Amino acid sequence: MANKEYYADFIKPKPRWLASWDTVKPRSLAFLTDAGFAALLLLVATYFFTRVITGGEGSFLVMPWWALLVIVVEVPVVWQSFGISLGMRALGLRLIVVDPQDRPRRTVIVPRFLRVLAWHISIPLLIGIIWPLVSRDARSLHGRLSHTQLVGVSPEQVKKTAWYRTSSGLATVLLCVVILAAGVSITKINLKTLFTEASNSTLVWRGLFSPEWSEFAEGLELLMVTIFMAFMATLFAVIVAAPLSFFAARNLFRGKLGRVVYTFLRVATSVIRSIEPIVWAIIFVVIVTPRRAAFAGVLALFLHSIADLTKLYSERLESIDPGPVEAITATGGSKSQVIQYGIVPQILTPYLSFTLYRWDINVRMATIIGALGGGGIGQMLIQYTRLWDWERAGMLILLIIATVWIMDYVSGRLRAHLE
Amino acid sequence: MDKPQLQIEHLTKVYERGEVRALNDVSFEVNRGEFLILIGLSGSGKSTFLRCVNRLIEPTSGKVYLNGIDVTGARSAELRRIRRQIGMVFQQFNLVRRSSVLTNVLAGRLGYVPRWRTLLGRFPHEDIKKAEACLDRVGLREKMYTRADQLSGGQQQRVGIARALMQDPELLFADEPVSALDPATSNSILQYLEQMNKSDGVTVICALHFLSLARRYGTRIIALKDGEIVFEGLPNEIDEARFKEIYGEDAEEVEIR
Amino acid sequence: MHVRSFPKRRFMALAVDWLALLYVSYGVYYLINHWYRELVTVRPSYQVPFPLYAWVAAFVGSFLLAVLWENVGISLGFRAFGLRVRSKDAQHVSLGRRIRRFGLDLVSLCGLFAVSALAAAPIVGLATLFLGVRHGSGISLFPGTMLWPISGWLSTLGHFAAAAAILAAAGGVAYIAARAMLRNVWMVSRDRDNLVDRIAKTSVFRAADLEDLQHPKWYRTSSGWMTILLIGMSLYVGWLMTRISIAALIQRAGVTGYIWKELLRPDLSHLVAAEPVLQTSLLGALLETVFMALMATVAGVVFAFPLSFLGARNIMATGPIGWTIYTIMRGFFNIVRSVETLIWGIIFGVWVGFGPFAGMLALTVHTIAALGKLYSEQVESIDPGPLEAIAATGARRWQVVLYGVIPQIIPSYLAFTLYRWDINVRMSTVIGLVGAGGIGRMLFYYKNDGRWGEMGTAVLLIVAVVWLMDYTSARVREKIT
Repeated sequence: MANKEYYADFIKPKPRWLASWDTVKPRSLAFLTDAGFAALLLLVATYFFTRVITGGEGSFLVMPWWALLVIVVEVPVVWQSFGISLGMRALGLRLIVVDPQDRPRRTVIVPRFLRVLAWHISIPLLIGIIWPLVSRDARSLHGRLSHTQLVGVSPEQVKKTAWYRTSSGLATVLLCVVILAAGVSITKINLKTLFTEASNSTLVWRGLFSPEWSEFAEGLELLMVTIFMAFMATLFAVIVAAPLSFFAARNLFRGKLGRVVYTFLRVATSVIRSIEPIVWAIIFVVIVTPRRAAFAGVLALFLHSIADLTKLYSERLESIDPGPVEAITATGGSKSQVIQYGIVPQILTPYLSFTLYRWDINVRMATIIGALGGGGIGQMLIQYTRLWDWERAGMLILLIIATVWIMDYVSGRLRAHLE
Repeated sequence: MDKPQLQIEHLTKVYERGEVRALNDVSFEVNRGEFLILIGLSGSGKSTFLRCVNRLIEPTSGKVYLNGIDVTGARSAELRRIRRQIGMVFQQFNLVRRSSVLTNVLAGRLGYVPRWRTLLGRFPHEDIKKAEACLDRVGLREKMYTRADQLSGGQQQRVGIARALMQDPELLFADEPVSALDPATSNSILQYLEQMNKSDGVTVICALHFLSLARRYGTRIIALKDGEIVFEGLPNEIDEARFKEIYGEDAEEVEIR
Repeated sequence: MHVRSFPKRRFMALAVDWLALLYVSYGVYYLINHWYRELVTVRPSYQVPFPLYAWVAAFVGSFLLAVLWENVGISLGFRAFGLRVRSKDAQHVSLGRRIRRFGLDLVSLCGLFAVSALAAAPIVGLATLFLGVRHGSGISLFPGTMLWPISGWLSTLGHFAAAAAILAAAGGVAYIAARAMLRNVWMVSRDRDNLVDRIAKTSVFRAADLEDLQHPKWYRTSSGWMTILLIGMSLYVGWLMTRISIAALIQRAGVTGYIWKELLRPDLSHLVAAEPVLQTSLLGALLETVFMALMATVAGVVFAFPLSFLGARNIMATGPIGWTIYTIMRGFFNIVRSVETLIWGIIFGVWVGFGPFAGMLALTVHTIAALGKLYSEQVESIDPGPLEAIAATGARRWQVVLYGVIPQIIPSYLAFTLYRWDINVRMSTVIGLVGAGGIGRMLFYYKNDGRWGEMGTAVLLIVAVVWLMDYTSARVREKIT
């Protein structure tokens, strides 16, 4: 099947707009990079300064939207015409002057001005956008008018210049400085409190280092609940995710229906995975009532594990060796036989390995999932911290550390053994 | 002839684990301008010997003198001064694969350049000029800004030679410089070493596998077997019987051109 | 002739068998409790008061059972670690001889316990001494019995020295005895069979070395049934313990269906406009979250970068000082990493006050440890050749690191850093839940208020940002490695 597609590429010539797109793509990406740079710089800078000036009140957009848009568009145009912009550097592009008469020229400043001018005429009229896609040599209209062209250069042709002597280097530094400054202000970093208020936390540290041992037995009991939460969630997730992964693997199910199912599964899993299990637990605990907090934890971990495992499994499926599959198809095996004899033996060990890994993660997450709803040791821990009972909390934290450590070690060893 | 440039006295290296005697009481002298070749099977102690001389490996006992200075007793600063006089070329080239050719060559100057400069990576202008000249000598000037891992094996080894040249060495160690290369390239690499030996007057100590190459380039040959010297003399003195003695009964000489 | 015994494997096998049986007894304990609570109406947290000897019996009994199992049948541990008990010439052993071997095992174990108890005596003794002196209660082996009254520090010192000397001498003798015992009687010696095997004329073989190895179906082996029992019990106990109830889920689904509906119908009213109580808009909170992650990653890298060299074996392990630093660094990374960010969040919340700064600090600390570990593993896997070459030019140690190590590790460091930023963004979305700022705080606030529509918006924003981060970081990582 793969071969047919492979040959099809040769038989059918690419349509012109697609062929042009190959050369237009880096130029568009360079434009987007520079525009993105300008937008980021503007947004962060205005946000930062308005925060500092107004003390964080009101909208941070000091200028109207259209002005912002104009600046964001103008920065790449001017920058790319008169210098080597960030996007040009990132994508290996340089502006050259194409002289139709091949005359030596002393100054190249005029075509650069012309380029900016031509851009402002051709692009708003939309013709400049379509032009490169339909013209034979994929050159842009404004480039043609100004006898300039953005061309790709290989890394070896690039002249090495120290970063502080290039506009893109300085611009990157500027962006970094502005972002860091904004970060300091937004996250309210105050190193002074870190040192002057250290005494606040002595209570916590003392609790952690002289734990209340009478809490040990109860902690152990809660720990069992936690481990079982992870166990049940992982087990059920495997049962669901293992078959699902076959539908989420691009190389196994083709055709229109396969494509739809694949896309749906990929989107769904990546959305579910994006939400931390602890957030899922918050929702589930409302649904199954706090009396069944541990159940809510199981459900949250279960859901997150399905998504994560389906992704891991199907990625593994996509990278299997097609040789055995081909061989078994050639012997006349049915689809199910191909899966059983050609695919399953290849994926069994990695699946097990991923599952162990996921169980390890689930135990980790289960220890804290209780903090906001799910049951287990986390629930108790958060209660003790609210009661400021750091000796008992310390005991529980020590138990969590020990469990995570042991799980990490055991699963690591088992996985190393599997591979 | 004045004093020998390099004196080795009773050099011994015992690896603690396994109690292998990699070198056993090796003594000889090397005069200025020699092209000395070490031959022997793999594991006969050639690499260990070279590394014990510039103390990349600490010898167990014995003494090494370079121009009368005790290498084995040298403290760190002095040892570094000694090391920068000894260029070294390796079997696996040992280039930093992700750095450019120029950076790799400039690393040869690390023992000379002021510290703050190396910290910032700002080598003096004359060093960069020198690096260009060295690369020119090995015919790789146009590859200056290429990443080292983009070069072929022979080219990488030439970069390794350029790095050694940067040190202005008076002594050059080559640890099986051609084992990882094909025969044609091997010859060109050894010609570069010979050129350094002849025109710059650099003493060369080169470990080799192949006797034919040793005969062609060496002014003197020392053969090691199980960490001991079993032969010392001129290249043409190695006959069939000697050969069997060094390489074992089953060995057959292979000609490399 | 077979000469190797496999002390490590045999030890692990015994540990596995013992743990399996202990686990079964825990399951039985849990189920007894559960059924008791079901049958007799008591409060839900009621626990059956098992006497102390029941615990001891379970503990010791499961151990003895494990030993019996290993002798009489092919135990789970023996199967997992590929071991078999055979006669000296690799023949099958009759049941009678196996039982006799069990008896010998028991005797040798008793001896071993006796001797190791003696060997542990100095430690226990010194501990009692220490406690006795600390509490001024004198030395007592059992609570309430005073062996040696002690008063005042001066006389204590004399007593202490005398007692320590006696105990150390006794301990030394016991230690030697225990060592000899372990070497010869039990399973520690590597190149010869232990005493039990020598008397019983048996040997423990590696299954891979046996030629007549049989592979019976799982249902004809004791270990197969044990596995089924373990899995079944885990499922049943797990089901009960985590209070899984499909019925409750279905029943409540009808009542709480509106939650999903509202979550999926996001309320955008506070997307840009500030929420009056928390005084921040959702987008503002999101920005705070992203910046929390960014600052934590930057700060984490600043610390993890130099520390990673201290935690790399190939750089540090050149002398005893280097070894010590290496071990300390690795221990530090591991301990800090195993404390979840959320817990760090609580600690720093108390320290500097709850808010984005506390969240950032928590993420930073976790990042330092996680990145430090990843980085130093990367340093350990570099090509040592260039380092040798650069050292040979007469370069200093730090020059070797600067010119030989760093160029090799930069790409993977970048990849790990991006990966970590990705993780930090995920983490920072939840760290707000414990009081550090950001979108997590708003999420929790809305949930407590039952404003599911607005919570839906928050969740949607998180999904968008995490997804974007995930995608970009994966793409960029693909590019640079």
